[in-house]
Amino acid sequence: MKTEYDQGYLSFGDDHAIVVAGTIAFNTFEEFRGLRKQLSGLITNGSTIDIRDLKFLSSSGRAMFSMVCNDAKRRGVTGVKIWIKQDIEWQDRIITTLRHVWPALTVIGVEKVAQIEFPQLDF
Amino acid sequence: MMIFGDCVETREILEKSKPDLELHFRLPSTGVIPDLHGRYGDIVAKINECIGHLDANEENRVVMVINELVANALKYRERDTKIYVKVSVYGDCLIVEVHNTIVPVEKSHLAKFLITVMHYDLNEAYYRQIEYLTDHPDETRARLGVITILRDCDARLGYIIDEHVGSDRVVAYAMIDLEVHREN
Repeated sequence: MKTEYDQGYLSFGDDHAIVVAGTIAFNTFEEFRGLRKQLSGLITNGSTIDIRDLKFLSSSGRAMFSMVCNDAKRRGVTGVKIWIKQDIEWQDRIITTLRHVWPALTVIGVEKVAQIEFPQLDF
Repeated sequence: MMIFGDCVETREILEKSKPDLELHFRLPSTGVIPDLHGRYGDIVAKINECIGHLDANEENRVVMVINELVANALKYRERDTKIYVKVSVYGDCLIVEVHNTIVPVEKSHLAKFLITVMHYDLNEAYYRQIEYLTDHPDETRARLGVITILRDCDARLGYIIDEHVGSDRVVAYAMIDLEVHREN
């Protein structure tokens, strides 16, 4: 399944990996509503989210992504893995935000690509 | 006149120094907004041409600052009024100015917001807003542009809100220190 958003897309394959890639230059938070709902509906326990090749050009995109992850945490989702490129500053910032909303987050791996897991937490 | 944040140093540079590069454009008062991201790309290309090479993160920082200020101006402005944007480069320092009108209800919101955010821990303000947005999924505005400029783009930001007969005006100033790669 592949859904296009602006010059980017979300794809969800048989491996249950959620890939969001390309340039999504929406400016308003409202414009991200469709992507936000789709992402929220796909994230479940064990999901892998790959944003390594994603480029947002506004604060609304970053906010949307943090909000979707926060919402997943509240729904009781655990064990999500997020692929980022640590040398892309905004992606690294997102991890800082997620570390705050999901304090037990651990980073596995170093170098350019990090694999992130959200362990089971007691709420 | 109401002044918020870091305006003094920015205005001093604008008034007393000669820029290495100065670019400006206007957004029309009505009709279709031109391709802003294409325009931002042109600005980054001119900076690269004029002062040296910016890496992808720096380019993203520049685009983000201009884009967020313009996006706010589009939200705040009175109907049928123009927006003026100026981008100036002084050595490794980049200053973005955005001039626009503001509707009265947004003026008081903006003033209250700026007072709050300038005195808050930025990370805490960001996290609180993410929690708020998660609680209110039908919210149409994230209201994280200013915080993101300050927190993620490491910019110094100032606002001047000026009362005028007819419509009030706002000037937003953002100053960032660029990391420029120059060939020896």
